[in-house]
Amino acid sequence: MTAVPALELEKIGMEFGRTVRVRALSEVSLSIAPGEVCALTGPTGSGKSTLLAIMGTLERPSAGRVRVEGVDVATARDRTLARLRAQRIGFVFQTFQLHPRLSALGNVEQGLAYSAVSPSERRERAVAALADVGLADRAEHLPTQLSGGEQQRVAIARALAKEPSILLADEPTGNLDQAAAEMVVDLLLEGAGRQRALVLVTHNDALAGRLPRVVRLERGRLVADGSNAAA
Amino acid sequence: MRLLEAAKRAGADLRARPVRSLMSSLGIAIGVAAVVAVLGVAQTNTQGLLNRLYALQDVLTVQSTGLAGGPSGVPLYALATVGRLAPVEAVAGVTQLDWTVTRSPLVPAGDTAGISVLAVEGDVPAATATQLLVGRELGPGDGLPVAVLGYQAARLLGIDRQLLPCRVWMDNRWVVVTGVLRPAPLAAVIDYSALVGYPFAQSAGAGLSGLGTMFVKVQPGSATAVSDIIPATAEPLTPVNVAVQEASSAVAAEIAARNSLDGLFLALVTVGVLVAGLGVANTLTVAVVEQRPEIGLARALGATRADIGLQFLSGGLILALGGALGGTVLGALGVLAYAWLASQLVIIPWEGVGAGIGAAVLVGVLASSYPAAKAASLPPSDVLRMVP
Ligand SMILES: Nc1ncnc2c1ncn2[C@@H]1O[C@H](COP(=O)(O)OP(=O)(O)O)[C@@H](O)[C@H]1O
Ligand SMILES: [Mg+2]
Repeated sequence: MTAVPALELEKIGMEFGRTVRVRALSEVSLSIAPGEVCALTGPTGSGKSTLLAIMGTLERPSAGRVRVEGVDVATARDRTLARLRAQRIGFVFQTFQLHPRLSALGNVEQGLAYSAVSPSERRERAVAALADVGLADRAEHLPTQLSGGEQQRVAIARALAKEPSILLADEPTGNLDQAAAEMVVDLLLEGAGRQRALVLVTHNDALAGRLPRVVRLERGRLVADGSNAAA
Repeated sequence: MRLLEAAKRAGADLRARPVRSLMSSLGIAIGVAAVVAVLGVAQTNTQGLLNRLYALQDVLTVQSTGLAGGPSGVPLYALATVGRLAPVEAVAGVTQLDWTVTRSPLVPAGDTAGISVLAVEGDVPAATATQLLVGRELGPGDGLPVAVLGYQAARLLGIDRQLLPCRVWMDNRWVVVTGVLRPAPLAAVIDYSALVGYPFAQSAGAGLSGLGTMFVKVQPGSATAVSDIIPATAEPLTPVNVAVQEASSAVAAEIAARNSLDGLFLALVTVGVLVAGLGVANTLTVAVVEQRPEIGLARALGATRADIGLQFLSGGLILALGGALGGTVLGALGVLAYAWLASQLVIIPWEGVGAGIGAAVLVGVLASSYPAAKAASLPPSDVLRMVP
């Protein structure tokens, strides 16, 4: 079977800064199959967020080759990448990244604003996605009127409403208490699988242990990539 | 469709900062209001002047040239001969006397405030296209010591409607003022004069031969035709002695002068609108800087560079168009108020409205092009700058 990988990274290198160079990633190679669920772990500053941003086409690597569903990011046009982000990739961030002036429903709708979805269908799908994360009754609330756990559930609804094939979550529970964190992880794992790949960044070993595959970064290098017997 | 969505997002962004948005479109509004008001007032004035000009053309001024060395002035019988011409509606003759007029014998005779005394024959108000403001006209062939005052003469003598009838001191005798005329834009000489009847002037010892000036009111449109035949009608033996004047070229000159001033003012207004455009550009540039994370978020959610650019372009257009529409309404209200105060016809300068709105669109596009380009160039990774 030669299915196109959801994500394919070849010898990714990333440097920041022009005068003072910071090397965030070196020679990271990694392939993630469609529907595969994977944890990305490592100490703070090891380059997890940078790698996730590259996977999601938010950043272009300074070296190596990235393919997202077969599309070479280095040579793709802005519109092609934008369409990937609009339709194929869903993000969940540690600090939620909700639009501060949009309601919960508005934020979920914005997740569909740049794909070819009619306004009425957009509304329908946003309402359904918000109900799926248990926030149907908070639709009109602004982010500031929601708890951290609720905000993160809105962000998950925003990511899932477009029914992406790749879900990228960067320490989604990092700012949440235990109960809220568990609910968020459950929602992400429910949303993943089937044809939807999930890369979940965490430095929580217990959480990483629940996932079938664990990739470990240290100082910008990939140091371990193994399957989890327990999962 | 895409533009509509971008405009909706831009509108939401602007509504989130109502005061700043309002202030930056206020600049545009004031500029456009000034354009509309200036053009509107100018056109209202021009139309008013043209109306007056057309009315003036219906009154001919006939004077003697003295070229053929004949008798001085236009002969009295010309009133009858010219008056019989079919298109002529009214004729009157006036001759200046060397009399003075004051409120009382106590005023020094030299202190006449520039008011002349005219001996008149015929219907002066009708022949000079004016009317009696108040009181009673001179009777036909009035031999009584009564006078009618021109509008400015009454003002200078301090005589208003409450005082009528009253006495004035004229050439060492009391004369009763029975009426005051409205302004006669054609005949400034009437405005600054006291009018007495020919018979009275003669009985009081004024040596009168011909008419100093004859005014001829003709039917609209027949001024040129009548002025061609007046010399031979008024003085058949020496027509060359008679000069006929039609419209006032001074009025046309006044219109031109006023319009050139408008041009200067419009140039200043244009500069003002450009400065207002800088205000819009500034507002949008600040918005781009402030909204970097939100722009990054939109890019992370799939917005293209074009989507973001379009959003800021339409933001600029909304500010400029909103300002232009508000300015048009303000300017039109100004023209209405002016026309009402000056009791003239209202003319809304549609080409000014069009030019104002067109300029606003141009300014909006120009002002937002830099912020839009800047916003479009922000990377999607800016979403990571968002702080909770
Ligand atoms: N935009 C940036 N500019 C400069 N250095 C950066 C930037 N982003 C990340 N880095 C650096 O790259 C390294 C990896 O960072 P990051 O990917 O955030 O690590 P992690 O998410 O594993 O904590 C760190 O040393 C960090 O300081
Ligand atoms: Mg990180």
